[in-house]
Amino acid sequence: MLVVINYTVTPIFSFYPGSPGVIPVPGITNDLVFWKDKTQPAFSDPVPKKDDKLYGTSYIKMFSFGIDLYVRELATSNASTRLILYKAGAPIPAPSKIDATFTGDSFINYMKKRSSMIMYLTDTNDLVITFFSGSKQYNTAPIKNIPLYTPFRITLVVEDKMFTTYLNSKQVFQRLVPESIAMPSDGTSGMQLFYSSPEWTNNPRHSIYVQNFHLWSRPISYKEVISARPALALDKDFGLSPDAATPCSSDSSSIVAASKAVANTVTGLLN
Amino acid sequence: MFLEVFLFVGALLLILYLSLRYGRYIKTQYQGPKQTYDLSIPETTVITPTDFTWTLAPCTLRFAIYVDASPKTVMTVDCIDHKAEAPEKFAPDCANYSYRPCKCMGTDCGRCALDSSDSGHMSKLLSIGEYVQLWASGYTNQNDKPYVPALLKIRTGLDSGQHYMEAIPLPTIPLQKWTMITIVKEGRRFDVYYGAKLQISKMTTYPPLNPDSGSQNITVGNKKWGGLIGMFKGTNGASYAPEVQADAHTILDTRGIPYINDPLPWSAFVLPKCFFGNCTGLPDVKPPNQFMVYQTNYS
Repeated sequence: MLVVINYTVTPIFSFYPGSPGVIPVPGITNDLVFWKDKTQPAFSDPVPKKDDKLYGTSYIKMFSFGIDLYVRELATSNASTRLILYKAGAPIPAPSKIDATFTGDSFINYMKKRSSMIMYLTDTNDLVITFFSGSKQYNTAPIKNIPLYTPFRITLVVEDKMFTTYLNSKQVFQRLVPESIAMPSDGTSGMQLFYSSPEWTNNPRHSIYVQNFHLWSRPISYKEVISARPALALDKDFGLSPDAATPCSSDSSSIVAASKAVANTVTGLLN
Repeated sequence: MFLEVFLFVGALLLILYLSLRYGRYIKTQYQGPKQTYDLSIPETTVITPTDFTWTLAPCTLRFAIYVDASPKTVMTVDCIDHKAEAPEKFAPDCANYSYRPCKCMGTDCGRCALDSSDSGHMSKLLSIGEYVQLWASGYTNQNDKPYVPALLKIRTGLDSGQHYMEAIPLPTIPLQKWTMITIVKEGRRFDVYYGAKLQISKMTTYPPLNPDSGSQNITVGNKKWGGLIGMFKGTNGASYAPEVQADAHTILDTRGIPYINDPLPWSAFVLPKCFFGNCTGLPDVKPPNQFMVYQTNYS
């Protein structure tokens, strides 16, 4: 009888967090958490993987994700290439030349032709998400002064013409664009996957670290944003010494070496 | 039996006495070897990395300052026209006396130095190497206020090859009055409290830089200034108004004076400057506040 009422009169069963209904039904999920093993993902590590249930979904205009970030001393990395995450059809190779003439605009123009979405830091600790949609480019307003040496979570909800960003589950930006977000007209093509930052960004020393990339194949409600699990990663969960007084050069180098090894393996598998 | 009761009561009284006597010591939390330091002794190290390290992580530094004497400041200060994109001199804009980031020559910030000579109108009172510095101008009378009374000078960086010097303007540090100053840094944002009151909250243009290993000591003092500075305490973590308020309540009495423990109770009996007579022939009169003109009954 309840099933009949659920489908005819009013929702009784809640099939996922935040959906209408008073009786939660466990087991039905359409989300996955990647990069949760307390190490840094390999350079340009693509998710979801082929065997994942979320593989094959179109992450263009109806999806959500949350990601835990930990940012250390930014002055050790190139101010023009502080890429955190991107969405594309294939890993993005390094530009032919990254020198003093390669500015933030050069970086955006380079990514524009190869990806459909990027999350990056400006030349200071302001975080921006940019969508390349059709021939247009839509930015979020910069989230100014993101925490340094303190873990925080960015959540993005994309719903057709609208995208909303949250910092530690508090809404910091929402934008309604004139048309549905679409694939870029002169850029990437094929199935869009999420990639961690490539090797050529955040150089010469990595300063941005990620953990708990939580992906949904649909827009999520605010209730889901605040109740998303796992909880925000601790600084030690990023696989780095949180001690700000020590530069952790040995830690970074070992992580980079490990990441390179994994990246080579993934590249081999993809080939 | 009587002896045991006597000893017990004696121990109890001793504990009570010690609690009352040293309660203030417990109450007045500070780091470093001493509670207060002479402001007129330059380059006095007050905090070493063993006590507290100023890093890029959110941190809070609290101290109290009592300015007894300072140089007299001229009304005008050197200013520059900030039409250039990045000024190559650390000086305020002539239009509104605001500072813009001074672009260093790569990582050499020599050209962004403030004039610390006698002719300069500002004096460095506190520093963590070149990375965080508190500068203050001297005092004038009410009709002749300095345009830039005090500032925090912060070294920031675009990347490893380009540094800047930026300023957080501050209001006047009151003269001849204890002032608890709390500097809170969270990312690029600096909050500065005088007592429990937030005076300024400002973001620098670029992220501040981590002091290198040789510049982590906190030093204070300037020979042109007189007074006391102390009650230093650094914490890793950003403090907000309620915490600063609670801290102020802990270390300050109702008149805003820190609970300073006099290590030598008999110092009150120190002989006056001219014990055997009036050496200068002038009365030793101090104004009650920084804006009041010196007055005396003597002509």
